Amino acid sequence: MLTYCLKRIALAILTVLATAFLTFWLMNAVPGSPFYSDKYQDPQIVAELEAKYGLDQPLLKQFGTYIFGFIQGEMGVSLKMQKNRQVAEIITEKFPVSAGVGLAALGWAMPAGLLLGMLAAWKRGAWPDGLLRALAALGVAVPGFVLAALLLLLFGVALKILPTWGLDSWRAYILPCLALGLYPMCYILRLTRAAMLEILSQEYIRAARLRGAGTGRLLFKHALRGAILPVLTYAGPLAAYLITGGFVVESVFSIPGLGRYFVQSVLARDYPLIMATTILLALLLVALILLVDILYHLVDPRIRLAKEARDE
Amino acid sequence: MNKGRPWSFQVDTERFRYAGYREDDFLPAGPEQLAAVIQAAEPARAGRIAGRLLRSRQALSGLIILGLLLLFAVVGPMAIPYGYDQQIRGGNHLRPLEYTAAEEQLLAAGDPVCPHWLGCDGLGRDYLVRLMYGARISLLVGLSAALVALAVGAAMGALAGWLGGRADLILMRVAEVFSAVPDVLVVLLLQVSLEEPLRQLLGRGGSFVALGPGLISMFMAFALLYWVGMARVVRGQVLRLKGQDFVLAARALGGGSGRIIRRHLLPHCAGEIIAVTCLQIPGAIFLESFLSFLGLGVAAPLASLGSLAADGLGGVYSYPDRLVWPALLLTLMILAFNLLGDGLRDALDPRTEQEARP
Repeated sequence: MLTYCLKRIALAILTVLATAFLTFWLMNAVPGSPFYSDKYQDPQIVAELEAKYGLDQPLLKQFGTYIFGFIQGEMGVSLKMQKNRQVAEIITEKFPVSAGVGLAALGWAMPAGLLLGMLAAWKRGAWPDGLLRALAALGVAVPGFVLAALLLLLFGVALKILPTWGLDSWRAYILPCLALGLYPMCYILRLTRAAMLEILSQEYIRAARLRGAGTGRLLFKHALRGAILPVLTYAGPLAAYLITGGFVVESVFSIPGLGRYFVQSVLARDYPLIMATTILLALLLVALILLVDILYHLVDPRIRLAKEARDE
Repeated sequence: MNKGRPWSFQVDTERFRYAGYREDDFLPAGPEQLAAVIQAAEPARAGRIAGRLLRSRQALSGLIILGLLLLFAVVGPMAIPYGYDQQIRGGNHLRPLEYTAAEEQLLAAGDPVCPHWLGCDGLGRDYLVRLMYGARISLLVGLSAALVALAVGAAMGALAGWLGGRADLILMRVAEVFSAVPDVLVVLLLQVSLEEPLRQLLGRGGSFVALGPGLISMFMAFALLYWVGMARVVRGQVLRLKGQDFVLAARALGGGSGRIIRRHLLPHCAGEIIAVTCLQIPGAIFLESFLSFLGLGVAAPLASLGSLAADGLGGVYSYPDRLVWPALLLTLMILAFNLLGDGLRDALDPRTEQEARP
């Protein structure tokens, strides 16, 4: 178990490095420079600015310098968005905002999806099942910005019961969290329902029922254990994406979060910001995938991790 | 099979030696034997699956919605005499079923004028026609992007699953890297760097260039980013299948790796592959609408449902119908593909028949 974890952590670090390098190469391959703007048209000035920030060095050397700096906690300064401000400072300002909304969305979407999925499977064929399946089918079919815009129009503009921008009070969290969480909720509902249906038809469930287990115990103790596995697989990467913020929801609700800022920094070619955000997302992603694999083992001890690394 | 040597494709000979055979005892099969085996193994599944699909209400409703959407997108523009980029004089922000002053005069003179069913947009272009073309583009993006992702993903997944061992490990790590690279960055890169070469390659004009470098680079970006999901599914299936006896039989009959993957393993995964493709099409449509929302989507006079919805969002307080229509069509389209994909998956899953309730 320990060697497996160590091996996976080493692999994860390699993955993050590869992601970082690919992103670094990609953003440098995009024509244009962060310094071309209305202010500086002169190539001479641009060249001097690039020299100042070390952008005239060979790519590999730049990457090496950047990574060594990153490991020491030096993420460089923003080139464009907030000129010369420390990237670390910007991220510590924006990331908690996105993480708050993302965690809140995850916090309602996960339990709701699981519970409703179990309900649908339990009431298979009856009206709750039909209703929930229709909801889930619709929920995964509405594009994010459409949902966000419709929620905004309905609750913010027409009914005027919820604030439409910012995050000043807990009530301001409701709409963004709804918009961010509906798709994952419906997806989890579908996953749970499918897994539950399979498990409810298995022998050990019948055996548990014969031994006199009540409905609650049957569902939550015996069946949930098996049904939660596919949900966990989905929830790992999902959590990483939700925590780093969604561009659409953040722009529709004017939330000063990382998701919106990242897209803006890509469009502005603000290299250090792009790199730092990408590495943050990649770190979160591999960490959560690893965590899910370990959780797998805890939930279902039959799954042997070391073997899985090769076969599964 | 053959755990010790991950790079080797050979049948594990230990099993045979134990039974008193050696590898050399196996001769390649002759043409008649091959023909007999192939005939005996010919599956008659397609008809049964189609039948099951048509009986499933879910898949059928998906198919019907898709058919209607196709009709709307492909045949629709022929029924309306306006072009998607034709600006009608005095028609700016026309409300649904209103006429411009010039058209009123024509009507008064007794000439037939095609009504603007959904009004016109801010530049005086007939909105219904734009919606039709938008649906066309969105369908095109979804289908072609998912097909590209299918080709790349199925190949990579089959390779990873079949080779196993180190090759598998490396390919799957590569997949992980691709799922962490920001997609906006990839699209932006392809768009900016491909614009010139594409223009030269395709020459000026032509229907392909009309799509714009944005759309073409989006196909490529989708192929680069979304093969991962397909590869995972195919790899899992191949891992499950490759230990089964029919693979051993194919190998014993002298089939090479390439042939076994193409003729035996991939057809076995066909169901899963089709189902995943049906579920990836909405992903492509989502991505396109999101990129159009950012302004990275289709080139200007052309519209997709995503760019129409993004435009509609801008003027949503005065013209809410211009957000509602494209949003409704997008939702219907994605819903239809989801229904079809789910229905297909159920139809292909042999367990569903026994599971069906009386």
